[in-house]
Amino acid sequence: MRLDKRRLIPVLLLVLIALVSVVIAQKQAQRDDYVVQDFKVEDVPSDDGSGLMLSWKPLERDKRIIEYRVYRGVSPDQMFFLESIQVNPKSGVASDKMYYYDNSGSEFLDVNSPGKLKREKQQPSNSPLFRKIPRDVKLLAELGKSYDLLSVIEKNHLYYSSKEVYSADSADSTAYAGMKMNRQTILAFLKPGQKYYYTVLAVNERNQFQNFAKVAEGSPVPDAPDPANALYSVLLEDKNELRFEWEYPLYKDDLQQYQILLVSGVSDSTWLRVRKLPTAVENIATPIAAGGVSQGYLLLKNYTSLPVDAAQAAQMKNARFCLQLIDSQGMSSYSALSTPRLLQSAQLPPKPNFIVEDKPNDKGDRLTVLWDKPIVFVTKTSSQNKDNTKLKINYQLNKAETQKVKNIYFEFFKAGESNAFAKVKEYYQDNSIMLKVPAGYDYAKGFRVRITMDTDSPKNDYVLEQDLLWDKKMMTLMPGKELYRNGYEVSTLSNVVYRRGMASDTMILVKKNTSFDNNLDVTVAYPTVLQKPVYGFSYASGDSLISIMYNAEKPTRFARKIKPGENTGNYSLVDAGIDVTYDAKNETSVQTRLFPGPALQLVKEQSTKLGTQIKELEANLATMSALNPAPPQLAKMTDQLKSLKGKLASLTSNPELKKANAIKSKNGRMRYIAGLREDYSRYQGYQVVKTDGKGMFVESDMLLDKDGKPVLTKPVSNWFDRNKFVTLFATLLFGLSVIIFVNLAKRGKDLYIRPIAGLSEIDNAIGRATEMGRPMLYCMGNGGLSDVATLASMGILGLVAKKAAEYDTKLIVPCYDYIIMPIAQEIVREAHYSVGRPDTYDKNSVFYLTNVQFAYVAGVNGIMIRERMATNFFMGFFAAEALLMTETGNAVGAVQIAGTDAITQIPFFITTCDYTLIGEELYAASAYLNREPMLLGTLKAQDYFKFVILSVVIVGAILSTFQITGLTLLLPLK
Amino acid sequence: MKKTIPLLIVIVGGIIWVLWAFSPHYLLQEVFYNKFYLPWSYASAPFAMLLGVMSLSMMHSNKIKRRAPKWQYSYFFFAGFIITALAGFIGGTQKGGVFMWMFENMQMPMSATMFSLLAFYMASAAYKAFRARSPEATVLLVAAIVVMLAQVPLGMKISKHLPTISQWILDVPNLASKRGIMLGVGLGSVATSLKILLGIERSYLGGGD
Repeated sequence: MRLDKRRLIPVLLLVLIALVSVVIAQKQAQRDDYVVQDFKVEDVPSDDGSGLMLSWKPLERDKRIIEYRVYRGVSPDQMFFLESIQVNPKSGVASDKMYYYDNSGSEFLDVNSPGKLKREKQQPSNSPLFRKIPRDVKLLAELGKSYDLLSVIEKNHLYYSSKEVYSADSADSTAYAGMKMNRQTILAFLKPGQKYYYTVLAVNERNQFQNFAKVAEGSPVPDAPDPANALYSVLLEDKNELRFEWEYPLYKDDLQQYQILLVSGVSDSTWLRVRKLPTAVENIATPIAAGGVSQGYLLLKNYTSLPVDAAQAAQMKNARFCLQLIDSQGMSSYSALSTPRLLQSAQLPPKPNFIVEDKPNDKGDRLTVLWDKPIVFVTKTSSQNKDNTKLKINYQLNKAETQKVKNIYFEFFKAGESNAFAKVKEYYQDNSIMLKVPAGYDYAKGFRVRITMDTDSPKNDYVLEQDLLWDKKMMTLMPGKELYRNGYEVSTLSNVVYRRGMASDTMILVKKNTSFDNNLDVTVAYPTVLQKPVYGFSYASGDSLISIMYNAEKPTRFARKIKPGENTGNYSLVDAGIDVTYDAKNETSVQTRLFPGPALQLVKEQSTKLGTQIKELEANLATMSALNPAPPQLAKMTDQLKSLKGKLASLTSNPELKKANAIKSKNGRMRYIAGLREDYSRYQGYQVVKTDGKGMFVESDMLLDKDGKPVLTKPVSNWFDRNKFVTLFATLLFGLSVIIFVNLAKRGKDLYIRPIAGLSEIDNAIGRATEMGRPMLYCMGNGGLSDVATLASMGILGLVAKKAAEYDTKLIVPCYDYIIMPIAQEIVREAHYSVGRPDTYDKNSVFYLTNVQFAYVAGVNGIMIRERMATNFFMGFFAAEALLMTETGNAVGAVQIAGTDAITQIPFFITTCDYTLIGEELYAASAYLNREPMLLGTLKAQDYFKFVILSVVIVGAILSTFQITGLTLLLPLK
Repeated sequence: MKKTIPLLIVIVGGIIWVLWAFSPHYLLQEVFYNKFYLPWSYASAPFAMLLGVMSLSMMHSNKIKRRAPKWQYSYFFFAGFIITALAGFIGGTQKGGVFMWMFENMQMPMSATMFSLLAFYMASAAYKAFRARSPEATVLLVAAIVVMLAQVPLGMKISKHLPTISQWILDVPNLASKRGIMLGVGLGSVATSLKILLGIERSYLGGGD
């Protein structure tokens, strides 16, 4: 058969189709190969039922995967992008399995959410995978039914942009704060018992989305918490006091309460079996103490004490205790049994004394809790020579910013000796000293170092000691774990800092510190966001208002006709309640609503409600009193009555609340409330607890004011950074000298300025270009407008451009920065106008080239070669491109004048250019060329000030030689 | 008026920045800098960039119109500009996209080529610098030889003191001269800033008064 033209086309077509099919099939096969395997969804153990654990086998390294994308949905046919897990395609994933825990707030809605439902990239039209959940209120409301939602709102958005919105439920008259979708971030938490669907897909480094793994489902289940890692008990025999301290398990977010149980009649091994059966535990355990574990995610105190009488104390010596942890679902776990250590109160650590002070020189968001004098300790040593006779010893000085240490004294003792063989006075603290090891002593035997300091407190009133021991692995002397303070080993003790707010006396854990620390900077942040649970969504559909509300037992949809003037946008509904201040007189927090109308309504409703409750309680109290009840019961009721009366009094007579409610405008009212609430919420009270972590703890006394009330401190925003006094003084002095010399110059005093060759040659260089009839290039470097070198360069450009315009020589200015370009254009244009040659100004000779470093070099070099430059100016800040450009300029035979303050490039300029302005000469150029008295004055002042600096350097060096460090310490390091 | 208003803006802005440098107060560090200055500078930068792009496009279109020397290269500018912009706008700038491919396979190798040329230029610059034509140049030559030799194992073979001498040269005379320049630069910066703040230096406003 002959293959003529008519047959060739179909054959070629067939071949093409076959080829395309093979390529598609190969691609498909590849996609199938790249599917994630063994994808599983399991419940997270020991949690509160809000977590699922995803696991899968990662793809091999040769698949060059760069990320795994996780998708989640409440149905298998619609899953939204949840999270991306980035992977290094070169190294791949080393482990056999990858895990992703969906157990914290995941993004439900944020500023990056798409406006409408969008299918994931590279997915077919029937794919269940979508990008992030869109800002579609109907979809959000529907999906929100399956999650617990928390809205994170920027404070000003809540204060001023929230709308007064009512649910479509006619039975619900609550005024909600309606937040627009783009004014908040909503986080979603999984709901216990709810079914969720997940899948994961891999993306390779060519950004190809592979097929997704088989969809797996999971349902989070609340579990009993893990038992406490350890419970320690101590019986202080002389004080008849039981003390307990414990360590929490890893997952502790949902723990609510603890109970100390006295367990009797079981062996330790039996207990390990019995403790898994709560009903059996109840029969053999008696609660003796209880308390709270956490407030939200914040941990409370992990210790307690219990007074006992002498008879009980005798019994308790052999008693055994366990710690019961109870979570938010009411489920419990029990620790292993603990038998008390029998100790005396004299063995307790010393009671910590502390002060709280404002952190100086900050914006007002930090406080310093200071519980000790400065602490110095050795961190490492290193031998400085082969014979090991010279040791460099690094030390660390821990002190608060307000503490002063003048000198540190180190004394070194050989092992077993009490006379120091070396004493070092560290008068300038640079964290290292040198030690000469005595000849003949095997330094591997180690030393003891004794450290004292000259501080604000009386000299040598405490001594710190450490042993320096030979470390085989490090092959040097290293400090032992122990730190002795006045002979008492303190390294096992921790200083735990707790804090409380104004509205609650509950102490919350801040940080556990070692004994090597003497202070802690606590951040007291300015409020920026507020978190509020989402109660539902609301939107208009035609003339109806639709609300999907979640705050009932089960999510419900409501609809009704829109009322005239009603807010009908798309809103998430959050609580409109907000705290105003703390009413110290009535010991209660003052609450209100965001909107003036509902706020007044709240006062009215609450007053009536509280009035009724008070009446009922008073009646009950009268009845109870007649029946002679137990004193604790009576006291409880009295306290309750007092609290209710306080709340009522606060609601009706608190001056701040009254003032807020008197303000009619919403924004004005919120400005007033914001000022109050943001101020009071930043007051904090502190306590320090010294503990060995095993039941031997001592609490510091609370700091009290003269009325006996706890001292609450608020950080202060400082107006002036006191570390910059010297800088300010120097600046003012310099400014003054500038003014003096400018005035002298104005009066006509002839100020001598040393000649700068590079500047004198500018005229000649321009003249040369004119004579040769070739253009000039002016390069301003790669600095931005904020670089002083660029600003100085602009001054020189103006002068060069004037001369160029005068002589009618073409000046080309390629700009690196697009912000500089219009300014450079303006400078050159002005120069042409000023010499009366506006016609010769060509806007296109001052242009933006690029802000990519080497592309700029390529561009400039190209221009230099094409235009055959006669003169090149390089004035400004330069980096690696400097030499590339100047060498090219050299090659084309141009006269080159450069000026820069970039120290690394100065040598290159000196080598390759005809004249170079070094550092400050560049800044002086404008003054030098203009010869304006005002500018010359600054130049002169600059020279004199340099002399002052040089004098200070010399005096400082001399004083330091004689160990007088006052001047050195006076000058700021940065 | 044309200069007075910009000058006033510069002086007021300058004073705020001086206050910002000396004061850690919340109003300056947070309200002014983080909440006002940074967002506005981010917002205004793209407009300036637009100016730059327009300038470059105008220059190249003029070149093509005027048939200036090597005007054909200007087409490469437009081609590169349009293709890169389209790749970025359509395919995004993330890894795996055309934009990133072009960046990694075109721009980066070209930049690396330019950078590698530096080695040859350095050699030629070193040759010029190290010609012992004067006593100063001879000192420079000797110091450079010592420092360079100390960087390689051969230096240690020649003398075990060479690295110490090299380090001394770097730490003492070299650092001293560097610091001298830095002091001058620092003072010059303050002086220039003061000149601008006091309205003495006005060249950045575009030439004369």
